[in-house]
Amino acid sequence: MVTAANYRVTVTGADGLPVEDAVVELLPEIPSEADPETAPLHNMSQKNRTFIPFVMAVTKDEQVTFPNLDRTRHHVYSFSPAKPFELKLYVGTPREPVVFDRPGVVAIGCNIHDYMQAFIYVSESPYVAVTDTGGAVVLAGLPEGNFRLKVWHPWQIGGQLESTVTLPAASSDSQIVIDIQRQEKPAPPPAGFGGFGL
Amino acid sequence: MNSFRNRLVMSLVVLLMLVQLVTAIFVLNAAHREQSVQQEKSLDVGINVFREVLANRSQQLSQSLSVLSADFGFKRAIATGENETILSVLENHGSRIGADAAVLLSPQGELVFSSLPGIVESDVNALFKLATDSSTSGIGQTLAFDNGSYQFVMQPVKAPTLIAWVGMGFMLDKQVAQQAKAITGVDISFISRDRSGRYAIQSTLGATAQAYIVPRMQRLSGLEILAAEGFPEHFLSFAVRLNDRASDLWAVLHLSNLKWEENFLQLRNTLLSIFAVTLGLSLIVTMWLSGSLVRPVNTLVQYARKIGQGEKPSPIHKAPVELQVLADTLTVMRDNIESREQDLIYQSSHDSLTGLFNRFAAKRHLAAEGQQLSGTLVLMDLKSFRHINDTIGFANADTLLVLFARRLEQLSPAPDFLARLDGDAFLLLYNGGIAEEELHRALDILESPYPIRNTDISVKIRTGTLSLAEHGGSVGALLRRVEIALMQACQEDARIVAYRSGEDEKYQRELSIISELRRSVEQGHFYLVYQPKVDIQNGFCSGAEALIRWEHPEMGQIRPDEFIMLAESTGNIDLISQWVLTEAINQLAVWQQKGMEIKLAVNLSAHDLVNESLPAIIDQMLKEHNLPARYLAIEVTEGAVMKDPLVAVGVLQRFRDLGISIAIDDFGTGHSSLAYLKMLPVNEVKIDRSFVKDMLTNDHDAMIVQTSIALTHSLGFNVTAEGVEEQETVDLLKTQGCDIVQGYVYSRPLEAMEFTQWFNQFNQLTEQQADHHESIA
Repeated sequence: MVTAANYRVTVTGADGLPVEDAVVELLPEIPSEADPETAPLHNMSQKNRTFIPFVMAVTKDEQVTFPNLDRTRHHVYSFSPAKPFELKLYVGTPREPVVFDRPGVVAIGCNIHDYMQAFIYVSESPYVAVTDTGGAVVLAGLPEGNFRLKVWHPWQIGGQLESTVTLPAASSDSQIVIDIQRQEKPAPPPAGFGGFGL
Repeated sequence: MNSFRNRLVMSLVVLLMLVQLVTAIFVLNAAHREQSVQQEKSLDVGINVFREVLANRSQQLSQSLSVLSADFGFKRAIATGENETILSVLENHGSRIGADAAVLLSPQGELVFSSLPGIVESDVNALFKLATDSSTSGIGQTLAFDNGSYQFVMQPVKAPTLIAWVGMGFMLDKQVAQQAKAITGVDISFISRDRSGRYAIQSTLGATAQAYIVPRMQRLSGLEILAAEGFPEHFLSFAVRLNDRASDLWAVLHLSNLKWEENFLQLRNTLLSIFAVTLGLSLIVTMWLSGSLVRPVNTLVQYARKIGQGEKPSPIHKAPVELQVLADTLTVMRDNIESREQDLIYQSSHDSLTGLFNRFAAKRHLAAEGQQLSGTLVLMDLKSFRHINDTIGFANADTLLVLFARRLEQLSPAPDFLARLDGDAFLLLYNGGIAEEELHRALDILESPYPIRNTDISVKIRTGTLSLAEHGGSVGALLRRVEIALMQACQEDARIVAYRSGEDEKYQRELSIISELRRSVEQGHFYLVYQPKVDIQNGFCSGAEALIRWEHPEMGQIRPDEFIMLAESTGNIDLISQWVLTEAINQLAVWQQKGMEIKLAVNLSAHDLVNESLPAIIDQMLKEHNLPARYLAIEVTEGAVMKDPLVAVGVLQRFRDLGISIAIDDFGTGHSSLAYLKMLPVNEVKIDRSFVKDMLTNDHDAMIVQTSIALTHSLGFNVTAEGVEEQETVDLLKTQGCDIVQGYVYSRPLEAMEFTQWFNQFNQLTEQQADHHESIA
């Protein structure tokens, strides 16, 4: 095993502004198996009728729980081919987490609140992360070798971006520009019917 | 008819009609405009309501569709591709909201499902465009498909990302139109045009109206901008384009304007009837008014016309002030004209100096009397009035005439008519006649002295009278005859001369002769005759006297002593003398050529003797014919010479100088003195026939002749005896030493041809006798 390295990627839009919520995945030539024991449990919580986070990256076979922090019930579902599922009306955390066993993008919605939207990116590689508000992501513990670099964003125009990276690279800091259509992140409407708090 | 009244009526009626016409135009226009505005307002309301209806339907559809698009089962069915489920959900929801069509598109715009039969790619594209266009998403749009027009709404299906587009449409059919009509109260037609350009119509209008519209679809584009009438008839129509992207779908709103039109027609008819009644009434009123206005004018016109015709109509009273002024003026004018006319008549018939009637009035009076005229006409004339005039001056002479006139007026017996003809000629008419003694007494009074400027002026009066019973005739003839009588009184220096029969005819004849003279000279009615003059001492005919004759074609032979005197007194003698001289010299020239030695004597008048150019003229004439002057002789009377002896002697001297011999004619009849005779450049003296004629029986005459011959010879002149008719006289004259004899004893005056013959015979005979005597001797 070669010494692990960190690789920092900054994603910006065509407008030069940093892009938050972009998924960056480095896919090694030789697939490396993630350790199922150490697989983390992700939380896609619902608070104030909003999925948090908006975009989540998980590696294949990892589990995600959908804790409901609101007083209202939610009916979380996805019809995405990567993982169709449905968590019927529930309060609190559903008993069973959902295992995302196929790589792909899973669009999450709520059948009660149509405006709630979130995305779970299921990666093949364990080297995957979501950019912060500065558009930056740091992938740590990377082995040497050639990687396929994939960048995805829900608002992306023209499909997933792919390139190749060889590590260790001359610069561990890489800048990637993607074409996106910026919009407001899904948020609940200000007030429901005459100020009912839902 | 161009009368004042008609003009008045016409003007008022025309004015009224004009006002009515203008009023009608304005009222009807305003009404029409107002109606149009109201109609358009109504139509606008209809259009707005219609749009509202469409929008409501669209909203309803949109809401219903959003229920569908949010349905979890529907989403799952789409996400999982359960086509059967999708279809049943669409049908279910479609029927629930009463939609006529449903479609499902993929997020990329591919057709997944459609209930519309025969949908084509362009339709799909139109639907996809409707779905993705943010301006129409959710509110829908109207689209035309093959089987009809639909109000369509498209909505996304999100799970939570976009997984499909679902759309539903309401068909715009007659039923919709009916519903809209129920709400808007306006007829509605949905008109669509398919790709091949065919129009389809769904309308609440009746079949005939629709049939009217269909072939006139090209008007649609205009109707989108401005509502217009006549699409179809009796409707105000406006087109609303339902498809913003293509001109293939319209909703046309038809507002019936039948009611408006009826209202308009009713208004128009009401106006017309009001105007007709007004016009009729005003015509009557105007006629009546103008009648009362014009009546005084007509009266005035009649009045003026009568005045114009010289009548004297009764004056007009109580006319309107202006017309009364006119009428009064006319009356005054008429009176003025009348008085002026009377003045004129007076002036035209009266002599301004004496106030007596004038010649004009006299003629008129005589003419008026006509056949009834009788009595005596007296014409008076102041003797030598010119002389009086020159002596006492015109002003005093006028005074004299006036005084004379006054005396005439006071004459007894008074004349029935009295006039001053001119100058000093006064005409009196005594209808009952006046005896000569009475007239003499009257003249005595008239001739008594006239006191003028402290001087007594006496006048002598000459009077001509005409007995009208004897010598009636035309006015002109009457005046002429009395004038002739007066003229004779003047000539005869008689106080009273009555007109004698024939005087007038003589006078007329003289007038004719005078007027005919010149024409006869020109037309050759004059001719010369020649009386031989025989040298009794030698028995030869040595000369002739040329005598003028006038044969007038109508008046016959006119004697020289008649016309010569008239020619002299009228100044025409020149003409005669000239003719005689020319003719005589021509004849002389003829004889000269024939070798006849004749001295031709021509008579000249007193007038010729004062014509100082005459000798030169005669000289010229002689020279033209190459005649020696000794062949021409001139005979003048003593009297002629004595008129202006100085000039006459000069002229005669010139003749003598030319070599023309001169004879004194009619010697012994005048008052000529021997002193004059001595002074005259004379060659020959002719003893008048009055002495010669009776010398055989009258010793006195014989003595006179003898003495005259002796005297003449003593003065160195030849002697000619005229009017010798008997041979014994010739013999006596011969013994007394007379040189030449002229008379019937030898020959009457002969015309040129005869004279030539006679001359040749006579001289031949004399020669023979001479030869005979010689032979005897």
